[in-house]
Amino acid sequence: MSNLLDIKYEKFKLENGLEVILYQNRMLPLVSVNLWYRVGSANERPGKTGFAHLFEHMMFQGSENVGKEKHFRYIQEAGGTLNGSTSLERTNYFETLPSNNLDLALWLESDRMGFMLEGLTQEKLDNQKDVVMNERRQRYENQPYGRAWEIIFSNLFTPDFPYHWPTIGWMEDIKNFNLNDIKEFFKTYYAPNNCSIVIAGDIDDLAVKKSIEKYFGSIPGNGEVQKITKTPKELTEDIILIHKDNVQLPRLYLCWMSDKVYGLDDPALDVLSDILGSSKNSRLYKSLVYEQQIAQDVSAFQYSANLTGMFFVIITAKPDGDLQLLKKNVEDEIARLIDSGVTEDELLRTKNGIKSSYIYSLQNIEQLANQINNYNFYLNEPNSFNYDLDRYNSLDVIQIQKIAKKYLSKPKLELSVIPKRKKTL
Amino acid sequence: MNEFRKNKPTAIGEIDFSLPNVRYITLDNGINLIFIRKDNLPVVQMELLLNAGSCYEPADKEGLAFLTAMLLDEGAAEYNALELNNEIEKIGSSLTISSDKDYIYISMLSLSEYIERSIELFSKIVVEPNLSVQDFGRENNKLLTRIIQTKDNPAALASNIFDTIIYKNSPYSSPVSGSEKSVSGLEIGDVKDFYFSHSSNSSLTLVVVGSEPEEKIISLLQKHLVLSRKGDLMKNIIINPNTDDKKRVYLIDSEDAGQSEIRIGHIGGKRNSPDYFAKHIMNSILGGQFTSRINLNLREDKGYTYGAGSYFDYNKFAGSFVVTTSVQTEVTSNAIKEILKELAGIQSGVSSDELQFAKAYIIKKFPSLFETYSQISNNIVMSVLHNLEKNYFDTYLDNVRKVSIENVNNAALKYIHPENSVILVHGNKNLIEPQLKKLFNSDIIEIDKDGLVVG
Repeated sequence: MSNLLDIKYEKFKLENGLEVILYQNRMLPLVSVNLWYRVGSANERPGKTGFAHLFEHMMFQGSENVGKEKHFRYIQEAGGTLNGSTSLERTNYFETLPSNNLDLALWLESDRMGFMLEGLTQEKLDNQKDVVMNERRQRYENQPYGRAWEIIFSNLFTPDFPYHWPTIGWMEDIKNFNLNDIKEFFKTYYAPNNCSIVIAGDIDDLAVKKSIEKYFGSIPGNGEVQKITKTPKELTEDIILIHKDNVQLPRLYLCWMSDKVYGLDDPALDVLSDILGSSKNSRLYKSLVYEQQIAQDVSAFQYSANLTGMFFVIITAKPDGDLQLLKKNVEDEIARLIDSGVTEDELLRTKNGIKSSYIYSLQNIEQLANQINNYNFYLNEPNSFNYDLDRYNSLDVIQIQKIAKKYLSKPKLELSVIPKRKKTL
Repeated sequence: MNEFRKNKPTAIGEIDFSLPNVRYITLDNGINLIFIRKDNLPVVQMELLLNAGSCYEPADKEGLAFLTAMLLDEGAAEYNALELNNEIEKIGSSLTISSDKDYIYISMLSLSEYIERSIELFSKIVVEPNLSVQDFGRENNKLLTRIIQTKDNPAALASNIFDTIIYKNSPYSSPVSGSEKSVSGLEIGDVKDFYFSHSSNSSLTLVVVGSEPEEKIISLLQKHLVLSRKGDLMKNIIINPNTDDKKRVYLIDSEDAGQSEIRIGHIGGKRNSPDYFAKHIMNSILGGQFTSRINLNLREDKGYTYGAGSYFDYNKFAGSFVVTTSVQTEVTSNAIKEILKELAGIQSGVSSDELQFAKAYIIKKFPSLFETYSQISNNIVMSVLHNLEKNYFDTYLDNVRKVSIENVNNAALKYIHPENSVILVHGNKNLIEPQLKKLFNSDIIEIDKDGLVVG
């Protein structure tokens, strides 16, 4: 088991600062190329929100030697899949394709890393602004409860704190971006020294190294990007919010500030969330959905990032359900947990679930490559699967109880999403 | 600028890929087992197919198959619902039960070290589900609430109602979750009758993909999956297309909608037809992937949407063709116009470049369809569902290569019918109706969120 999770890799840096991580795994004749640029929505500022994400879109619009749509077309023609995503603190790009076409992915990635601006036009930007505005409409505004996240983030954090706005950005900001914004952003953040590339799968180390040097070696490095080191302001009292939405079932969101990703308390918060609200036997599900049947569904999770973490409990009520009653129930369950702790059985069940999920996650080379980049980004050690799992295995019931007390007795944010009243005739 | 940058690198040599070996076995008790040994991880994936999808529901009992699927893991043998879930989670297994128009699927992913316990628990669910009155009450209520919830989700609602319209007067027309009215009328006796009469030994197919030897899996199944259910209810269902062509434009009003959800399409034939590969290639060019005509037009050219595409949706006895997208309200009718233009356009034929691209895409992607345990299992499940030949995957690449441009063009003429398409829009009526009226001479039929005609 621990052998399976102990991956052999090679890591080195090109002269221009690009970090390269190679991981050979020949389960299929596939290779996954995965780049993490150290930039995300946390690097934005008020008035320019959503830019890291819009920029990600622009990275698929071609570069000096790659025409619009060609990035997609070439990879697909080779039988590959591709995508990218933007989060608070990183933007990733990835291709998975038959291993005999690895150079194609390296060529495409290096062309946009080095020569993206040469392919840029106003027309492309206008088009992708429209696409992203439609993405915002589709994924957030026309989605039941879809605006909950940005309401929570923008109220939990002060306007100067970089998690205050949503990753997709505010509509007004998306509308206003211009070509200069793109150029500035590219020059600041899209340089080899601000990126790590993982190449995982059916690879030949020597050939890959040659190709990496060939495609990426001549792209000049850039000045160091400054790390963001802000600390969020703790809540001094509960924040209570109500939002009316196009929904028929009321839903309650409770959110506490918690520990940051890979922080000392981060694993215990994960375990705590699992015991509180993940499966049928979790405390909140059992009480609210199974026994009292006053809720339709329950979830709890720790969402952690570089600067801080957030601990969520989310409950959807039955039609016309009373959110205050649900809240009272959650508070009682939490009080009970702080008071008498969790059982050995609960902890063991959670640990076993986490252990098997690590094994299951090894099935897919794309996911594996991304996880290796994740470990490298946050822990500076790509081979951290065992370390990561040990964070959970080493926990005992006392620690879970302590963590519950430390975080869940603090002030919290409470958002009630309630149905817009139906018009009476 | 280095010269090498100007040109796309070419592939080096050929890749070496061989298909997994598929074993078809009938257990002593008549249950069909399909087994694939896959060793790279200590993992076993099991999936059981029951001929118990919503198309077999008795009249007025829509939602019964869905509710049955919800109830199956609410306790079995000596365990109540919570205990059963606890036993499964204790060994780190993950159980999923789902249903669609044709089947109920019970699937479980486990670590090999717990293979016997996994098969034992899995078997208890199949052999002795509790199906108690108490659990029924709770799950029935959960389903009723879920039906209400689905109406808040524009994409899910539009897709459900689209099916209701195109499969009108057939067993595929009702949403798998049923309606508030039908689900309120269900009783525990219905669930028991439905489950036990749709799980006879010979009608069951179990797909196992895992790192354990075949003999071991068979002996564990013989030991735990002890079942003697007789009878076979494999009905053949005939689906007649809805040819009510005067009624083709439908509108669901949602006054605060932030976008318009659009569905355009019609009945589209079965999965096991001989011209499947031509159809598949044709749709890949039309709307089946990112650089397809529809997506490039609506997204990358016009910016109307975050994404648009088309697909053939295959059920066992009939399939459909549907274009799906979600667009800015103001451009609803423009988007529809462009989609209809693309449907007409594909009927005038594809270019040899397009054909070549689509073939390369489909052929070279093939190995990646066999990466994870569940992908392999899903492929087998799909071949069982559609009664495909046992050598389907062995001949797959040749069958793709063989498709000619004429085959593709014929498939477009035969399977794409812009003039007979149902056009369904979910969105803000006040803003959409005037646009639609300019575009269509036919009546615009308003329907409510239950799929019933308003007024």
